[in-house]
Amino acid sequence: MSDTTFSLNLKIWRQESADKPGKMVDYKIDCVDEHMSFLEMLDVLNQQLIEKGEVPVAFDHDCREGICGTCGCMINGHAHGKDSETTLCQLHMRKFRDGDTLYLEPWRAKAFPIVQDLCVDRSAFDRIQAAGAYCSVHTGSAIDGNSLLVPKANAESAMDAAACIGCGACVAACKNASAMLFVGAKVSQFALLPQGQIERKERVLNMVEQMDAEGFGNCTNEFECEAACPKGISVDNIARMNREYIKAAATKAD
Amino acid sequence: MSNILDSKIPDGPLADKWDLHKAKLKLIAPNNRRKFNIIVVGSGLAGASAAASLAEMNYNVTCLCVQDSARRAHSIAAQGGINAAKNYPNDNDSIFRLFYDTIKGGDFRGREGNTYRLAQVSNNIIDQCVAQGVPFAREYGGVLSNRTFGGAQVSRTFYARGQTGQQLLLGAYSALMRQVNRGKVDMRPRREMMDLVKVDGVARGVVVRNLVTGELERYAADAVLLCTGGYGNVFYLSTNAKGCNVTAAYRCHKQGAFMANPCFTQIHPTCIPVSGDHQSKLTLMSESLRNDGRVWVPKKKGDDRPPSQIPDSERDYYLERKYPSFGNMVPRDVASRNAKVACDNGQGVGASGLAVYLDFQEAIEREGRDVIEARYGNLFHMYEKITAENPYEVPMRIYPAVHYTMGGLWVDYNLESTIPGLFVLGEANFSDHGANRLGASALMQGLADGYFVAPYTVAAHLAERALPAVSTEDEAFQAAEKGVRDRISKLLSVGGSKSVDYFHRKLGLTMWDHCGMARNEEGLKKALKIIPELREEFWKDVRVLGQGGQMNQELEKAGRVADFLEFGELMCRDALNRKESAGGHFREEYQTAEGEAKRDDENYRYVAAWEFKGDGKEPALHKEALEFENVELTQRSYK
Amino acid sequence: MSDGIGKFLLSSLGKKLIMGLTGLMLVGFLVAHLLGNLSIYGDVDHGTSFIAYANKLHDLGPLLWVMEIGLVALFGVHIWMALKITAENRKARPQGYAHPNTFGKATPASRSMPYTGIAILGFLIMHLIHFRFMKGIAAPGSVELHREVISVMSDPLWGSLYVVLSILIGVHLAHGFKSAFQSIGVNHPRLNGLLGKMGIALAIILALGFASFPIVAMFAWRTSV
Repeated sequence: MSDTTFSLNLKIWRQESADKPGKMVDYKIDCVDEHMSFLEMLDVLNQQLIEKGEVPVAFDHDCREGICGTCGCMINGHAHGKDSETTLCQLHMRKFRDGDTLYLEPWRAKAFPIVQDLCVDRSAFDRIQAAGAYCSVHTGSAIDGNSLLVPKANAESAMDAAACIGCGACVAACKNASAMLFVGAKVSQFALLPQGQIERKERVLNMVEQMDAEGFGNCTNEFECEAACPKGISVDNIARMNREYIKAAATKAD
Repeated sequence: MSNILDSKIPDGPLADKWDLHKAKLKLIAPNNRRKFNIIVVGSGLAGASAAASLAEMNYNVTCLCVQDSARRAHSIAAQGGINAAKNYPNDNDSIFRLFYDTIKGGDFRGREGNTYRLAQVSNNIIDQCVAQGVPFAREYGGVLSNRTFGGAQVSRTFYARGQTGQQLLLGAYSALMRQVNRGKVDMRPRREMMDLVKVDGVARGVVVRNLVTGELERYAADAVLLCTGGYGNVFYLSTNAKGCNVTAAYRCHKQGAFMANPCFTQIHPTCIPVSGDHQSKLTLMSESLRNDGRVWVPKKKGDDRPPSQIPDSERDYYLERKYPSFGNMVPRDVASRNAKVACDNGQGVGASGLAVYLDFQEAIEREGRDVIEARYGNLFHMYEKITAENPYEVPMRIYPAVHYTMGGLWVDYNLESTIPGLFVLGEANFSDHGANRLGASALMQGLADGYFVAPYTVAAHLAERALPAVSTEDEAFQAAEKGVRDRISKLLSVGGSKSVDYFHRKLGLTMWDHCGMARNEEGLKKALKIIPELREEFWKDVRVLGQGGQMNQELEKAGRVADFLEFGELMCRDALNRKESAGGHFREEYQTAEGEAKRDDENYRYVAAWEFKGDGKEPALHKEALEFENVELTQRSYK
Repeated sequence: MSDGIGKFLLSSLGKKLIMGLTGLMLVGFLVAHLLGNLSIYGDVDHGTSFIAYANKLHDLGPLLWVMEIGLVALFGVHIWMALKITAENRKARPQGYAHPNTFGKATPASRSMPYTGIAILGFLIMHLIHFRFMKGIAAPGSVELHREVISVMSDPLWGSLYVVLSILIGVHLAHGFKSAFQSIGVNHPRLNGLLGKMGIALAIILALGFASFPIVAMFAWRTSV
């Protein structure tokens, strides 16, 4: 299988820790196999660095099948690379050509501080989730699953929104580092389901407040987030969040 | 049989055991709960659901996970679905039937009591998840939709497209984050448990490494819940996430928690075949694909024609041929082993010859492409991304891969290990699946343990044992931290020439060759010779660059591989000891004339629980006899 | 409500709402402005129809003042929000990418919103100096305005600038119109395509409409006056 190998020029952001300065460093890698995933290519690079006694490149990854949302970096200005609906781990080297120069950079946003090299801190998403993305139901207090009917269309739309893997590509791709797609998807999932109705207003108000507090940018409706989203989450969810927010802000009485 | 192992299975009729047991469990009054601290290690289905439920009850919970967010635990990757005995489709399902299928699917190596409880609470899980807003698939009338899943003759599997694990985990994660917001859960991501701390023999805390700063941190508590998943990555290549490891469980094992049935590993039949030496992990395709896909290989050995040019008469649909009543839906171990048999027989397809076809042609013709796309669209999409082949036109190529581990830390009916105060939930324990797990049961078990079992049994532990206060400054904590610190320095100071991955791959290959889909005495003995040598080489020649006082992914891997190098040996020892074939454990010496697994109920109807006796010493085997009062032990037949 | 309405209006989504609403109202103004200006084609030589239109506006009296103040407020709020949003967005990514950003779904129109916006603000000032604050404009029924329009528009330099800026208004609207609906939450699969097309059509009509005055002036009226 080695007849299909090729070489790449990599420019990778190296930064030891959050409080130290970083810079782009050049690497050349040969023997890239077209069947490799992008992360496997980085594995090979790291093996070479270890052999040379250099500290390997840190990058976040886990499931390597596109569902955990851990991996991700910019490749030549594209979040998760140029392919649509693809996470970095699902991107394969057959998409690249011999001699290509690739810029690998971490997600950049004030709300996503760099941890090391290509790893960033996305705990802002957790805090937004904690601000209201749930139904307050105690363990054991649920009614029978079928006593709550959900129109199939709503269930499907809710699932479309719930498919978000929280990778942060939407923020990375947005020129404003805005988190609207992430938050919009979460708000939409609950707004579309009967379970979500009770806390519908508080949820959107609190989540948006937390989102703003984290320092994400504003949405300017360019839909780069949708283009970058590995799960193809639609910006319709952002419009739905806007509606939800306006309704909630206008009618919430407390 | 050892009397150390008291499974605490309550007396009484099977259907009443859990209720009778609950009625006897002591309680902690609501006002007093805030006086107790509980550590939950892991934030997957078991960990997140336990942490959320305990925090709701007002205990103070600290939840630790290695991932950068609780939402990324590997439960997220489960695709197909979750079983429950709701009988919504009216196909005569029941709690007993789900219990029976699970115990039979596990080849009668699981506990009746635990498994029945699992089936009982399965229905509550569905209700709970629906209430949380998990977007399960629905029918047009708005009711929940069910599908059939490997190894079952009823439709009892609830699903959310091909992302059921993700949606259930996000449900549990949302419940967890709600408690974080309430201030009842202190959520600590990017923390790796390095050791368990015992005080007076009771689990009272953990020492963890902060994976961002490299600092060691100590946490004290009144109970420790280990929800750290399985050890499939001992094989290096598996469908597990790269971060999955045995370290937390193995550290507890070294502290006195018995490890049960470690040789029971599940090889999943529908994975994407290996493409080359660079391969870092294997990708699972949900076995729901077998509902419509037909498995076949060419009848002729070494037939390298493209699949479209092989006429139907020259194809061997071996599962349909050998198992007419279950056909392509046989349990995972049976499907996997038959793929291996076909490939060993020279009928394998693809460049490596280590693959079989999973063909949707007939289903597409019968149901239409739209229907197939609605059912499996995301899986087909994933397959095409990885292989650059379009499964609507060319049959998929699949091969078995390590997927799940039924073995794990030994626990009693309360999910408590042999260390008092250490509870083990989900895949990390051994209890419910016997020697083989049925599809759509892992999610069920993780959530059953976390939502509906541990909250009751942990309370009883707190109520029954008058635990003295402990502080993280206590000697036990200092000693544990020192041990961890020494081990980290040791790893960093070896300064050898080979990377951690080098050792991990070598270990994985050894495990796969000798303790994989089929095992035999000779191979296992060989592995038992290779592994200690490899371990020795590791500690002499591993190269871990960077420092301990900062984020260091190589150091993280090194610690985990070091534990796998010890744990792999234990697995082989267990596999060697079990001179029978059962479920995922197939000993070539023990098979029927037709090549099916042959159990030895007379001599091996027990749980093998291993006690750590010290480095370099042989572990001691303790046996917990398995009693079957409600099912008849039969040779599994799916014909 | 314990939280003041201001808190909601100044949140990220509130700002979007304000941008969207003021933007749509300004589109309304542009349409009315264009329709009114078309009256100039009624009688190029003496400007009777154009003067009649101007007189009608003057006849509104205090209402005209109210409208003008409203218009200033609309522009003011729209610009203020734009500046605030742009400044915040810059802050949200203190360090940019070494490799230039690429376009996924963004368009030149969407990417240039702040720039076309600033250009339009400059244009607005120029336009007001030309025609709102010119001498003699106050006199009702004055022919000065008509003459001034013809003279400015037919001037090659000013005329060309007006053409360019009319086109920039179109570019701004090509993104702004549809974007405004998204911001106020008007979004439906059956509606989105239509809104997109309407936005483009409106952008072209307004750009061509406004550009038509300087173009016709430079090529046809120059000699006739």
